[in-house]
Amino acid sequence: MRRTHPSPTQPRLTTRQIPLATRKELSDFLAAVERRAYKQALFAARDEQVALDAVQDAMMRLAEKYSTRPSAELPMLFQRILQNTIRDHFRRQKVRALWTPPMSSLRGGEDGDDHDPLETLQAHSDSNSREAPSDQLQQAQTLELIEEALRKLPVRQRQAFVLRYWEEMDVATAAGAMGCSEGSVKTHCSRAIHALAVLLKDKGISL
Amino acid sequence: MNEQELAKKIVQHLDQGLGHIKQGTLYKLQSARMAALDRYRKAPQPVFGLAWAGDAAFRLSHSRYFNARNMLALGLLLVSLIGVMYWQRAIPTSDIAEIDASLLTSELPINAYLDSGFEAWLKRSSQ
Repeated sequence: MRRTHPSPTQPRLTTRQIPLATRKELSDFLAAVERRAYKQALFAARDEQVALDAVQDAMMRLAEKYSTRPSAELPMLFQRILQNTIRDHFRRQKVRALWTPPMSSLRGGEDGDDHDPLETLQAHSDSNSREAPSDQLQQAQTLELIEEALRKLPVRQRQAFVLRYWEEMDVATAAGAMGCSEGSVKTHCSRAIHALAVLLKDKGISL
Repeated sequence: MNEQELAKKIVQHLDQGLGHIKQGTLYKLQSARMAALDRYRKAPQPVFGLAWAGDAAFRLSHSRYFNARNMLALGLLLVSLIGVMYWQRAIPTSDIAEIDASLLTSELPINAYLDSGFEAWLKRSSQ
């Protein structure tokens, strides 16, 4: 059974189905992956602006430097560029932290203790949907917990899970995007799923 | 529930979450996509001539290593190397010049240093 994209105007395209040759096709590809790429960057960086910047940089580099590459390579290249961009951000942040005095104590607390999942729940355009409000709330809470669990995963495990299952890449392509062996991808994936299962079980979530 | 089924269920929730992204964020993503597409380059047409030379220059100038920080570090390295070379050349020259000057300005004739008798006398008198 194929998954469907939540937005009916934006059909779900898997990375294997997109031949990239023209500007239009590149546009379709970017439109298909941009939301997932943004979420992926957000899981890693935990900052909306940084995530947006990372996705924009990755799109720019792909269009500028790799648009003439064979279409089959482009999804892998985009993911690789995105991962490198996120890693560069962390390197810069680390260097900045060495030069900047710790100011965290002066800032207000942004801990998740007071965080309410409802605050992130956006109103759908089809607000009169058939789903009951209690179901919507439960879905939002489950989603929040899943995303929190993903954020807690080690970087490589999260990458492997996202590439293999969310981006629907095969093992070889995911290995290319991650710059590691196929065996490592399988190991990271397996560990990620086990860790997610444990984290969700601890929160009392049964999918 | 096996691994594949769990992964599928998680992904279903994640897909649903894509529909909850703020409109402002979606607009920014769209703008980023448009900006990226403006940089889209078609495949270069084959041309006659020393294409490799231009390509090499392009690769060098557009390399990710060719940025201000690396250039600054390279500049500092070159300046330090030049400084070390200058220092190494300057110090021995000044030492030799000082010895020469002391020999020439001394009342003792230079031939005295070559005389073995003078050296023996010098040792004896210092004892």
